[in-house]
Parts: sequence; structure tokens; C-alpha cells
Amino acid sequence: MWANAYLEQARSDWKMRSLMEENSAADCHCLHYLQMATEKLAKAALLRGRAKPEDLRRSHKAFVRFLRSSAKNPSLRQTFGLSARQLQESINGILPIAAEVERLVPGRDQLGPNAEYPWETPSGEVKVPASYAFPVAEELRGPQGRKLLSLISVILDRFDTFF
Amino acid sequence: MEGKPIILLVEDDLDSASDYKEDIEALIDVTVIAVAPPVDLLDLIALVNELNASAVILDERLQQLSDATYAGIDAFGYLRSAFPRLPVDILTAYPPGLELKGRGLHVENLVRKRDLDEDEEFKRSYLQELYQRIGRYRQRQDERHELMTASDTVTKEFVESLAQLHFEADDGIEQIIWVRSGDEKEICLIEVNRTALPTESIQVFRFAPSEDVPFRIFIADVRPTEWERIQSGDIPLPEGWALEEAQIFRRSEVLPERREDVG
Repeated sequence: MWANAYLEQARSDWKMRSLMEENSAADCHCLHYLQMATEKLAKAALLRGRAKPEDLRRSHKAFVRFLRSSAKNPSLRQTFGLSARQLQESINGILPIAAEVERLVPGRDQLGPNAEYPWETPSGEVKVPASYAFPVAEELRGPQGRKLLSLISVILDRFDTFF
Repeated sequence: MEGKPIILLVEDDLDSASDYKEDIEALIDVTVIAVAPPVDLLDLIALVNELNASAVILDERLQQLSDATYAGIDAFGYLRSAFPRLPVDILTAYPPGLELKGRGLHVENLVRKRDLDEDEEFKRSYLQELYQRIGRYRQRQDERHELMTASDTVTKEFVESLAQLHFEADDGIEQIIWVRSGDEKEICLIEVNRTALPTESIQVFRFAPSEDVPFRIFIADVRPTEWERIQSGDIPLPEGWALEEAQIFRRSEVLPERREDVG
């Protein structure tokens, strides 16, 4: 029940991300919805693995771990026609961008660039997400970024086949 | 592997690819399939799989006449990881620069076009040597582990076969613990992986049954230090999991040395 709830919200966040992109919203908004979609997607998979919802509320970090495990997913391997090693290798290539997406959440351990709140740089300059040029936004438009986005889209579409 | 070996020649200049194909096929018993570089590296992997290629020769500069999103050296690294031991060489018009050497490319994997075009003796010896490497690769491919066919319920042999596949896929996995959950239609694994992200807890991902693995799989990736803490009870196991009857598969025991580097 909880897994389906997280999945439904992840899909809705993903749709919002697409809407933001289509309407040329500032990068921070697209990234914010992307981060939320990926976190909930990963947590939906953990809930299918019988995690308790209360255990998942402590941390925003789940997506990178989720991706790393996904290389062993037999249905996913079959979908892409790749061996376990090849899928692992392919996923390894997108992990650095996935980690950057995961780091977009503001928090106690995140006082730097994030998708929601202004922050102060070490030199005392105040940066605003709405006008900040996030390097990860550019990386998402590159080949590895596009691969990451395609993978998320496939998993969201066919979640029940994979998990 | 049956049939004549296939060499995939990835070259954006299809005219010169056609010349190389003719030269190579005249000297060694292979079929050369020349292709323009696919746009994405993942498509290149799919092509190697699809053609069951036994070797790949890459042009160093793939982007001059194509839309490839990578250069030969990028493809080299990617193919090396995805297909360990697959013979992969780079054709270059230039002397090997520091950039290529710095990215783990050995001199023997770099072939100067001028040598291949003008030096008959070099061409003959290079191709003979490549043919031998192809032979060794094909032999290893024949020995490669395939996941065994599953029976109606989970068996030790099947889990061991799955563990072998995971060891082959990820060099960071040191041991895999098969935890008996009491359900014969599911497989619960703790994978001790030195590259796992530390979480100080056990996070379990579930994978749905598939054609080749018709059971639910539950996998938790933990670091070696976390595994020690799990054994001492410091980190609790998920509900219903117990270590009493657990079976441990160690990399060195499950993956014989000859298979260590076969993908």
C-alpha cells in the first residue's frame, strides 16, 4: 500500500518536472521535481522490499543506492537486452549525475547549492536557486544525463514489472 | 562460439573502412562488419551483443564524420568494462599521445594507420596476433557462466548460479549471504560489497520475478564493516530474516579464477 502511494507521488512529481521543462521554468524547479520524483521512486522500491515508512523518513538519500542495486534486476536486464555486467557498467556511468541530483536537497549537511533555498558561498555571496546555473542541469542534457532520464522514465512506467 | 569470428570495425570514414575490411579478410579467417559509430555508447554495446562480435577495432577520431557522442578512447574504456577480455584496438593516424596513455591504453592496443597501410610485414603479424587474441576470447566465452534454469522452487544450486552472475557483474562484491526466509518462492540476499554506500542499516530492494529468475529477489547491499555489525547483532536484520541457516558464497569459491575477468 505504501509502496503504491510513493510510486503515485513519484509519477506525479515526474509529470510536474516535464511540465516545468516544457514551459521553460528556471532550472531549479525542474531539478526540484526531478529530485523529489527520484527519491520517492527509490523509496517505493524499498517499500516493496518491506521497509517501514517511518524508517524512510529519516533520510532523503535513497536514489543512488537504488540505481546501484538496479543493475541486478533481472527484468530490467531483460528489457534492455544487457548482461548484468553491462547494465552495471551503464549504470555506473550515470551514477555521478544521480548523486548530484540526490544532493539537491537543502538540509543540515547541505549548505551549498540546492534547488529550494538561497545559500551563501564561502566568499560571502548569496546565491538564489532561481537564477543559479546548476552544472547538473547542463549534465542532464548531455548523453549520460539523457540516459539517466530515460532510465527513470522506463522504470516509472513499468515499475510493477521490475519491482 | 560457433561460426567465423566477427570483427566490428567502427569507423566514421566508410571508404577507408571498406579498404580495411578487404585487407583484414584477405589475411585472417574472419568477417569484418564495418559500421559508422552509433550515436550513443550504449548502442555500441548493443551492437557488439547483437553481432556477437569477437573483436572491435575503433577509429581514434570517431566524431569527424559522424554524430557520435564519444571518441575512440571513450568507447575503448566503455567496451573494456562491459566486455572484459574482448579484443579492442584503436586505429590512429597519430603517434600515441599522453592523453591516450593516461587513460589506460596500452601501446599494443594502438595501431598506427600508416603501419597498417604501408608495412606488409607489420600488417601480417598484427593481424595474426589479433586472430590469436580472438581465439582466446572465444574460448573464454564458451566457458562463461550462464544462469541455470530455475525449477519450481528456490534451490541452493540456483542461488549459487545467481550469486555467480552477481560476482561477475560487480567486482566490489566480496561475499553473498543467502538468508533463508522460509518462503520457497523468494531469494533473500545480503551482498557484502566494498563499494556499497554506508547506511548503518539494512535497506532491502525487491525485484519482481522474471523469465529467467521466476522468484522474488530481495537484496541488501552492505559494506564489510556493516556485515560485521550485522553478525554481532549491532545492525538488526529485516523482519523474518535470520542468519542461523544462512549460506555464504565467497567470491573466491564461487568464481573460479579463470572466470574472474570474464564478463
